[in-house]
Amino acid sequence: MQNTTAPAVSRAEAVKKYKKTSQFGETMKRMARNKAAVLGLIILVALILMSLCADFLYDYDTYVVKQNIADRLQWPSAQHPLGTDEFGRDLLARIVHGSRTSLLLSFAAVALSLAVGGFLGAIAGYYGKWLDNLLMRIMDVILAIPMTLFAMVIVAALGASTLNLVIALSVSQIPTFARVVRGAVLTVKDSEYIEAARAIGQRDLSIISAHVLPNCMAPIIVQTTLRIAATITSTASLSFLGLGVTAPTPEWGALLSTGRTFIRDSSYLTFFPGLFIMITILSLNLLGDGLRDALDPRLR
Amino acid sequence: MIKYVVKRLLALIPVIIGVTMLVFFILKSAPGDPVRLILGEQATPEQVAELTEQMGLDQPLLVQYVKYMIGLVQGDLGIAYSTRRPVADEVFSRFPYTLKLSLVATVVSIALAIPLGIIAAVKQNTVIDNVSMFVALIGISMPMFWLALLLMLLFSLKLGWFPVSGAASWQSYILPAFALGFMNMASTARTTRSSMLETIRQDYIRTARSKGVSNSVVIRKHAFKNALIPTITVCGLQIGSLLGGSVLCETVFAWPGIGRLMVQAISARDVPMVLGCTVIFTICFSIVNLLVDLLYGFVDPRIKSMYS
Amino acid sequence: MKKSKRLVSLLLAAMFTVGTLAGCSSGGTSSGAGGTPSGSGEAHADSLVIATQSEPASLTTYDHDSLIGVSMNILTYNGLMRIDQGTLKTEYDLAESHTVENDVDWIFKLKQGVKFHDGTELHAEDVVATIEWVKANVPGSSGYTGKIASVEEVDEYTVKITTDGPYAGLLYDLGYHYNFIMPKALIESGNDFNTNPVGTGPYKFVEWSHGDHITFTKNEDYFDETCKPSITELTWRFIPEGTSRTIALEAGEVDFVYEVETTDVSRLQSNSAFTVAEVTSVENWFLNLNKDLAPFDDVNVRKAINCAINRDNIINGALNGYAKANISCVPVGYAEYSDEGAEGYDLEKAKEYLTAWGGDPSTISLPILCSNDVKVRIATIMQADLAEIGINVEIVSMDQATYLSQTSSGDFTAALTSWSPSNALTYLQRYHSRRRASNPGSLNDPEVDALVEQAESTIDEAARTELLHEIIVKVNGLVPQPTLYQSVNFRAFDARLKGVVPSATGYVDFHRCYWEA
Repeated sequence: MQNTTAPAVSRAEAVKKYKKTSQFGETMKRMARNKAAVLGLIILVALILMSLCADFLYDYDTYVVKQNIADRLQWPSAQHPLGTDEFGRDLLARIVHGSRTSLLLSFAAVALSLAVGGFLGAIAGYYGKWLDNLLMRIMDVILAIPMTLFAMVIVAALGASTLNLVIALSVSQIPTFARVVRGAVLTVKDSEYIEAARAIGQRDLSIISAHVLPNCMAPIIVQTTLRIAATITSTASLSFLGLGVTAPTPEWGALLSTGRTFIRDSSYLTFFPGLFIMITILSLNLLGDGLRDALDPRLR
Repeated sequence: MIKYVVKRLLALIPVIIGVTMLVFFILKSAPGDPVRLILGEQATPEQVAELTEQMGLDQPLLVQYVKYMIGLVQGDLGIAYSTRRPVADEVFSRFPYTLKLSLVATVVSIALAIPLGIIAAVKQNTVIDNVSMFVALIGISMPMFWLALLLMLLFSLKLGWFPVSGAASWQSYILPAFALGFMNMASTARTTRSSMLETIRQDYIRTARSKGVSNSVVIRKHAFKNALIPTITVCGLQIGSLLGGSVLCETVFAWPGIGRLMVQAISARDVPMVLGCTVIFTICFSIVNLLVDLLYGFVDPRIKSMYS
Repeated sequence: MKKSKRLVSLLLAAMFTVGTLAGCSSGGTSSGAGGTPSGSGEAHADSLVIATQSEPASLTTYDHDSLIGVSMNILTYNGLMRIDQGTLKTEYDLAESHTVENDVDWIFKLKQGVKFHDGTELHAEDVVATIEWVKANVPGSSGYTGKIASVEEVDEYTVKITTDGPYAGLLYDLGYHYNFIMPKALIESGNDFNTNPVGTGPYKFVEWSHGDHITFTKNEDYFDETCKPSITELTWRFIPEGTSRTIALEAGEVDFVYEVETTDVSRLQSNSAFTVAEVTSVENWFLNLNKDLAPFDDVNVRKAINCAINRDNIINGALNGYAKANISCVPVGYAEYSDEGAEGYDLEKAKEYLTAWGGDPSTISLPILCSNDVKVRIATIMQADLAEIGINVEIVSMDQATYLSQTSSGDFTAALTSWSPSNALTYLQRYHSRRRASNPGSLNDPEVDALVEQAESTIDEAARTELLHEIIVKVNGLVPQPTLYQSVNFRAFDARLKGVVPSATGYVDFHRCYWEA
């Protein structure tokens, strides 16, 4: 535990050396004091490591895809630590490989909505006036449609594939990021250093990217962690509605959703994928909440 | 105040236009023909063409959209493709179920979250604080349908306390409302906790304490009321997400609400039905937000003065 | 550090709680907590609550073509003919007898004293009005009214139907829901049959609470004295989730589950409080190959695929063992069934067929369109099977709407589809090349076409049966669409309910059901 936290702390100290009152450094320091957040971070790092090592742990073709009907629906045993699914495939292998799909999918969806939402929010906040008004009204429209249903409509239109799922999940989250970034931009927009940058003739785009955005990273990071968690549940919901990741690709939400018909006799089929989803979302929330607390000077 | 309400309601118009346009064109561009779905796999091209014409689906998209909007302005939500019944009948008969469920779920989530939040704040940085926040997080971490099935297995089948499905009696509300409310508990509890922490540190609380007012009175009378505003905001925002989250809940518990209707309508490419549901969702979402804003006024007189 | 330890233990505690919850649910099986339906016997005597997956789109006979819609129709309506649920043969329903003159004129005598739900009596004019109205106004009905050239009233209780050329399928068509009889007066007055479905059937419509339930009450004046309805009130509740339906039955909230989740069958079978009736349905599933595309236009490739598919694996892996393997181009259950000329799973043969074709199997890519979970599971197994002979299967999952538009436009390579007509003639008609208009990529074989046309116009039953057999053998040799299995329908219900005859066509005659005294 100590080892893993070390980089965060030392980095914080390193940063502190150069910038005496860097917000980032302060935040990290405060974060490190929040044990729940650190726990969240550790779990998350472990999960990411697991997904990176998936191929070393289980060969995709022989363990994850290849069926063995004779071994179907076996409860956890020494041979299959988490049991087997309805095709006789090892559940642990599928969960390990599923972490790759699940994490990548949700990270990608959030990254996409962050990029688009962040850009829209930044220009809306920076330029203001009619552009701001127009963009924010568009965001209101997207926000007014319930996320799961909007994602369903988009998947229906684009067809069910992993890429389209990413798009569908990201579109409905764009307003969240646009609002956060816009709000943040508005608070720093009129500060003196921005005016100074403008005075020396820097272009708008470079002002936004070099000066405005770095100073509103904090709320963005918090939102990102929390949205990733929400995206994982949304993926599961879409799987439940029959619009998830296509077989035989393992994905936690899809594992949970297909396992639900076996919930009575083979409850392990829902329990373990569900547990991994829970742990991931918990750790993301602990991390996000920790970051938020750390960023909120009032709660010190 | 009335002026403010009217202004807010007028602002709804462009949002509705935007929402209908977005949903209409995305769904119309989706592959899949509602006529095919009605007639099935064996239908000949002539049958398909005939019914397409009967339903007015052979017209250009823009014409169809404008026609829809003209109807909408007159309060006509159109005829559903799949059931051939007026959308309004279907939507208005089912919407109250979703609304009622969402309200009960909100009550459940508030009833659970506020005490958790207050306890956590009062016992800040103790085990109790950690446990409370952890419990609050479980709801958000469990995919809804899984939680719903587990609740059903335990409370309906094993214990026989509550009905499995439908909306026949008040008992029917309990499980779905818990499943839904649990989902939203986390953020309400968190918000309550942080705003309580913030208030507790205010000077007037310190004054009250130093006057010798008992701790529980301080919390109840002074801190809680002032900490309520952010909690209300969060609850308001969550009614919106509840309306959306009800889709899964309604499927598992066979709740006759609008969320399930909309999922079916999307699969059936029943554009008027999807639009009808979306419009209702949008209006409801905005009204809830408006109510939340008005509620601030009652909780905090300083804000009320801003409306006039 | 101390605090983080506490957190870890908390986390474990929470997991344990959830684990117990899940454990309870699995443990609940053996104890059969909901085993005895909670209601008392008397409460049941007069009502039956049926849980079904989907809500009908319409209660009319003409605005739908779905199993659940027809299930509602057979409660409130009758046709001139009906399909016997056991033998799948046509029998008289509203008609009393019929004769055929010069191969095209069919004279039907109607039963007398049959009353509609509104109290008016059924006459020939109602039959004429219904069929004419449906023919003129319902595009979807043409498969069942298209061969009818005219309908005339001969006298109050006699109708003459003239077909467009000799046509053997007329009796079956008249038993189809599009041809169920509605009262003339209501058709003319523009009655909304969706909110007011007035027919002659054993049950009368009471109310429809959308999204929740539909209620019917028994028709005391039902014309068929031999099977007057026994149970007074019939309520259909819509419960989309399979697990929820089973739990509702076990908890005593419903008495009858119309579609039982296969994963729940064995549990319900082992519980003496419930009866699980099973019947092999005529719903025949197959891998529809687009025969307009190379190399699937080559019979050897189709045969290779056919021989490489292990039906037992599909049934055990994807369907929990609850289906009946079939290799013939028609389902078991028709009197005409035969698997002559059909081949089953044989990897060696599959490889031989590929050699006979001469191409390289790795160049064949086979995307299979799937429109639901079960299809995906089936395709997942076929993916493994076909990999054995070097054919690469790709699973393409989509929703039903997209699926239908792609299969009907011919924009597909392969799809998992089922057919379930109630009789062999209608089934085999689908191998005629005229079907290519609605389903591009289907069989295009002049010999089969000629045989089908001949069978259609052969009114003599014995001669027709022989022709049908010839078609079956011929089509089995062509393997247009490797047949996989027939679904097995399960109906689970309170063991005190008697008289349930599940039919291969998928319907249950609820007016024949009664509660054990």
